[in-house]
Amino acid sequence: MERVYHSIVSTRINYVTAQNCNNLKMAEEQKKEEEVAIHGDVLETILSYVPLINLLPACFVSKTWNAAVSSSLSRFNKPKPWLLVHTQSIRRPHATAFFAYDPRSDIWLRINQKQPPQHVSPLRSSNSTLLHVLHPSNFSFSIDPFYLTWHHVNPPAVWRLDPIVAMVGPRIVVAGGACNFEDDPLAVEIYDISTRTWERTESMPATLKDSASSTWLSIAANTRVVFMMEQSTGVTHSFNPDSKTWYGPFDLRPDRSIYFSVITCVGGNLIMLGLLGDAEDVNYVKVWELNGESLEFGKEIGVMPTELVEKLKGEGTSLNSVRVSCMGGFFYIYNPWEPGELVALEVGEEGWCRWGSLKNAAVGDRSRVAERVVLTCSDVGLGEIAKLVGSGNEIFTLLKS
Amino acid sequence: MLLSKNSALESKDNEIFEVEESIAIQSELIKTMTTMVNSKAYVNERNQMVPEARCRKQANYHVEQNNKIVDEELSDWESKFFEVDMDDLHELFMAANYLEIESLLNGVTKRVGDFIKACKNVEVIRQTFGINNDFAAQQEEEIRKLNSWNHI
Repeated sequence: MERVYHSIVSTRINYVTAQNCNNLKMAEEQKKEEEVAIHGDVLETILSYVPLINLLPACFVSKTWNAAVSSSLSRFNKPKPWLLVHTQSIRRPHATAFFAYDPRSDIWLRINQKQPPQHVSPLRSSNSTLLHVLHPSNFSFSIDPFYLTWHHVNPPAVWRLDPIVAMVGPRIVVAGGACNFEDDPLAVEIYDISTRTWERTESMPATLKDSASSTWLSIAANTRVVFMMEQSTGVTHSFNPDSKTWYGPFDLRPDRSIYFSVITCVGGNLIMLGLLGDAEDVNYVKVWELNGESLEFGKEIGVMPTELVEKLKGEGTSLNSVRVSCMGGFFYIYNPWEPGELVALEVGEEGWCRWGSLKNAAVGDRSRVAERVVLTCSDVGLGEIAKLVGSGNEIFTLLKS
Repeated sequence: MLLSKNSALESKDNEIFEVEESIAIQSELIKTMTTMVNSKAYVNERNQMVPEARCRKQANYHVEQNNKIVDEELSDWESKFFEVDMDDLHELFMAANYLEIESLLNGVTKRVGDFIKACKNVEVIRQTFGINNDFAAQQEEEIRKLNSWNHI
């Protein structure tokens, strides 16, 4: 047996000079070196393993730690958009529960808020960030990342059940979804957040008269325009609340075999997700990017792996529809009939795609049919965590994975 | 017949551990030294002494790691291995850092991350890690205001 003999021996380069110092000083130096303080890259790596929700105290420990938190967040493990899930019982008193998912650390939280009074009416979101409740006597909405602040304003003039509600810049556009007794099912009203006033405006195009509600239309909005796509046909219109002009119809589908599609806005572009084949035999689920200005077809971003398509189907064999919630490059896709399984898609700036599967912790084994599930996404950084934590004691509970 | 190479490592306390070479070279430092000895260019590096306890832990870590092939077993064993207090973790960290063993370092950093996650507030972190508060009262107040954080 060959032996390779190593000797790990103490030989300090400055041994000779150290010899000249008194013993006490040498002992001190030795102790200091022994106590390699946790700092620099090592501290930042350690912090990258700490979930954002637990990272606040670290900011106050010392100047070094404060800087290390900022540096770690920008170099090692950046904050990523959170998925927020509200469930609401369809039975009185319509108890709601609020859950949040942080993809940076792959953890779920339950947020323990007192039930806001407006939640006795159905909670909805028709595009990815705005949550609202429409009641005959008022319209409540919230747009902050954790929905801590709710705005209560007069309701729109037209009585509606399931309208399209989209935040476009400083305005909220409310369209369609009118109750049967209303004259104009295509009525559109705009709420101006700064002046706190409603304005009746140009109705939706007549071609939409049979599909003018959030049940049939998929909404995507940026700061200037709201897009509405008929989910079954792909026919799309857009509305500019500034100029109060409707545009379209546009046919945005790049493939004839798409039977269902939804849209969402990311940056200046429009992202479309489509189901190809037919509901009983879905072939593919694909994602495309379109130019947000010209609506020209950009490129195919990716195709959902078959095993994830199977997960979306759940226990059934058909996939009739999907919903998408997104923020930044993160997309959360689910089948409204099987909301327990989520498919997550992360799209990088360079165009790469990463698909994954995620169990929706908000949806338990109890009867899912008796609950409404509303998904939204938020950009969450330390500031938002601070506001959440500051809003009450025991405001969140970490869920065991 | 293939003879397995063994390395003998001497620790600061003059205890000699025999470890399979494939395990020994998981330490980047030892790997470098092996290469140098083999090419007959042994250089007297500035080395710190590695106390006996640490060395033993290294050897154990790797032997066990290589034995446990099944993922679940490995992660169970790893969680038990790292279920030590802050002082032991610190020793492990220093040893892993000095010997440059990436897998051990990763395990330790994750565990320290868990410690921080478990700390309820700032004071607990300071106590656990022995850190002094070098914020001036005014600076601390400023940070709080900037971020309207009340419950830290």
